[in-house]
Amino acid sequence: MIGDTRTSLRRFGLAVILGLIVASAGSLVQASAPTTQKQKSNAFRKDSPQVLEAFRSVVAEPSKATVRILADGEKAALGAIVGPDGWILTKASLLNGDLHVRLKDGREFPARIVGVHKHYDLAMLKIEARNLPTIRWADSSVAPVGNWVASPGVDRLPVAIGVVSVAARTVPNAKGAKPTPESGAGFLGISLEEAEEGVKVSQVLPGSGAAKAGVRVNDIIVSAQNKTIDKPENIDKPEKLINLIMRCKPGDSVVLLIKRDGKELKMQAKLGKRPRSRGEFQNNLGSKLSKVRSGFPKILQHDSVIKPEDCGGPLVDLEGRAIGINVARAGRTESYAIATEHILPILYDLMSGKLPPRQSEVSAENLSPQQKVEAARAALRKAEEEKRAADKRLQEARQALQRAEAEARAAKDPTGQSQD
Amino acid sequence: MNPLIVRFFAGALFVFVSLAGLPLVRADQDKSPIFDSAPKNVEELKAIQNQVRAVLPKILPCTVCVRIGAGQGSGVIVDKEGHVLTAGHVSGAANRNVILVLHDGKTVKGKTLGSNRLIDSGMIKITDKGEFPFAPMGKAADLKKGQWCIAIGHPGGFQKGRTPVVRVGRILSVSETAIVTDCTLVGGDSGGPLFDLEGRVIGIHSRIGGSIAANVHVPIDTYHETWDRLAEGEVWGGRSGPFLGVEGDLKSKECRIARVLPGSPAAKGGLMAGDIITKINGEAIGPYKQLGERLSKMKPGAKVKLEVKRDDDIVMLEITLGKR
Repeated sequence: MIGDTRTSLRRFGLAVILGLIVASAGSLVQASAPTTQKQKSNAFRKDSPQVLEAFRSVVAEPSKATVRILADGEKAALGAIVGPDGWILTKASLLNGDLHVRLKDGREFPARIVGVHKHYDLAMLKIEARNLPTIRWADSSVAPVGNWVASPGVDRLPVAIGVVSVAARTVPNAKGAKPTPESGAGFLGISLEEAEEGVKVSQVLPGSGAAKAGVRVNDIIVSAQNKTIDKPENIDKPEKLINLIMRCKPGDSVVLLIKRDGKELKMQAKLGKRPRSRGEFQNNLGSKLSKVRSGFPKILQHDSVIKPEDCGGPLVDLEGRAIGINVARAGRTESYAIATEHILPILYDLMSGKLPPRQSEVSAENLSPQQKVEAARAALRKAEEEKRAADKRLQEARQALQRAEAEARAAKDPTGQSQD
Repeated sequence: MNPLIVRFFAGALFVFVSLAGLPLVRADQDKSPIFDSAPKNVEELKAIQNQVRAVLPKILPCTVCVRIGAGQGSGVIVDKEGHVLTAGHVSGAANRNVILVLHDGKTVKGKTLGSNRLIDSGMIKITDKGEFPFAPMGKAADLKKGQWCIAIGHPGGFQKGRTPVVRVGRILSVSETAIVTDCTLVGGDSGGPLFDLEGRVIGIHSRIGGSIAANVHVPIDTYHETWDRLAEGEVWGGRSGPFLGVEGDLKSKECRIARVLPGSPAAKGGLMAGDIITKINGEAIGPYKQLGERLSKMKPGAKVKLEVKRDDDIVMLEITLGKR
C-alpha cells in the first residue's frame, strides 16, 4: 500500500515545502504567541466553556449512566451502564490493574471483567449494584454526518464535543483492534540492496549507529546479531535485517559480520531511535492518542478531541441518545466510536460469558515493563482469588462429606440417637 | 507548520459510501448571528446543526482528492469550467498531470496551473469533459473571530469506503495571509476547502502547528486577487536561497529538529529527527527560529558544520546546503 515515500518526496519539490514553512512561521506565531491573545482566542474555540455549557442539558441524563473506571486507583477509562444491575461496557485495553467503578453519585464499586470483544476492544464489567440508570441506545443513523455529538463524563459538562465526521462504516481489511507500535524501535541508519550473498549497503546515514561503527557503502552484510538477546542470524534478504532491527530497542548493540574487498570484518553498531514517519508525526501533534487505535472492523468517526483515558463511555447526540461507545482517540483529526447497531448484537454475548476475558486478551502484546508488572500482579490477584474460592469450595465439600457420612451413620443406627 | 500533503500511494479501487440517504433540513436563509458566536443552549446548537446539515449535501460533492505523482492532497471545484482550488505545495509546478478523485469515487484527469509559494495558494484545472458540482467562493474579509466553519478533506489521503471527512470548528484569527481555525487538519487535507455555514469557500487548508487549535488555511481573497495569474499557470513567490530540509520544534528553547525531509540535504548529511543543533560553524545556536536566520545568510552549495546533540552523544555533521 505504502509507496516509496523517499522518491515521491523528491518528486514533490522539497524546496516548496521548506519555503512554505518559513513563510508560514509568521502567521502561526501571530495566532498563538502572545498570552493575552491566546487566552482571548481560547474563548472563541469550539470547545470553549461557553460552548460546553450549551451541551449541559444534553449530557444531564446520559452522564448518570456514565461511570469513571479506575485501575489501581488511577483514571483509566469511562464506561457506559448498559444494564441496571451493574453491567458496564467500556474499552478493554485500558483495563490493566485492580478495577473500580465510580458512579456519578460518588458511590464506588469493585469491578470484574466478564466479557471481552477483542476486535472492537470492548469489555463488559460487572459491579454488584442494582437499579442503576442505563444509557438510551439509538441507531447511529439518527445522527448523520454533521450532527453534534457529545461525550458525557461524570461531571456536569461533557468531556468532549464534536460532530460526526464520517458515518458508521466497515473498514476494509481491518483485522481487529491492536496496539500501535511505538516509534521508538531501533534504527541502524543504512539503506539496503539485495546481493548474491548477504545484503549490500547502498547508503549510510552520516552520524547514525552504522556510520559510527564504520559501515560503508557497498559493504556486504552476511550476518547480524542483537548482542543483548539473539544468536547471530544469517542475512540473505534485506527484510531479515530489517526485521531483526525492528525487534531491537534504541541503545541495543548489533554485531554485524561484513564482507569488504574479500575480507571479513566484525563491527558493533549502537542503535539509535527510529524516526517517526511524517503521518505519525502530524497525527501526534496537539493531542494524546490511544495506544489501541486501529484495526476496528467497523467505526463511526467524529472530530471530538477526546483524551485516551476518557474513551470507553457513550457518545450521544443532541437528544442524549447513545449512538455508540467511544473506543479511540485515533489521530489529530479523528476519534472513533463503535456504533450502537454494531454493539447491540454482541451485548448479550459480552454479558453471558460467551466472550470470556482471557488474561492474554486483555493485556495484549507490546506491554511496557511497568504494564507487565501490573499484568503479573493482576494475574497473581486473580489466582489468589481463585485459590480462596477453591479453598472455600474445598471446605464446603469437606463439610458436606462429613454431614453425608454422619447421615449415613445415622441411617445405620436404628436408635437415631447419634443425630442432633 | 507542516504542509499537509501526504505522500503515499493508495489502492486502485474506489468505493464511496453514498450520502443519498441523508435527510435534508431546510436552512434558514438569513445569516444568523448564532453562526458567529458561542451557542447558548440546545436550540442554538440545533440551529447550527440544521445549517451544517443543509449545506453538506451541496459542498461534499465539490471536495476532491488530488493525486500528483505519488503525493495526495485535497481540493475544491469552484466553477463549471472545472477550476479546482488547492494549496500551492500540493499543485507545485505548472502543467503537471493530476488525477482527481471525485466525491463518488470516479477519477478524472487534470493539469496543475499556477501557484503562489509564499501564501501557499495553488490551482488545478480538470481537463476531462463533463459537468462537475462546484462550490461558490466567499470573501475572507467578511470573516469574524468566533464564526463557525466547516472543513472537508481527505486526511491521510483518499481511503476506500470513507466519505470526505467533515469537521466543524470556529475561526480563531484572520489575517491577509492566514485563517486559523480549530477545525483539525492533518496530512492529506492540504488543499481542501474551508467553508462558512452558507457553504461558500472561505479558505484552503495549508498547514498545522503544534497545538490542536493551530490549523492554518489560505484565505480565499488571495485566489480572487490573483485568479488570472493562477489560471495562466504562473508560479511565483518562491524564494531563492539555501535549503536544508528540516522542520523544527517551535516549543523548544533549543534548536530541536522535529522532522527531516527525506532526500533533503539535511537527510543526506545525517541529521535526524530529535537531534538538537548546538553549534553552526562553531557558533552556538538558540531556538529553531535562529536556524533560518543563520542559514539565510549562506549560499546554496555552501558547506555547513553542525554540532548536534543526539540522545547522550555529540555528533559532528557536515552538510552541503541545497537550493530552494
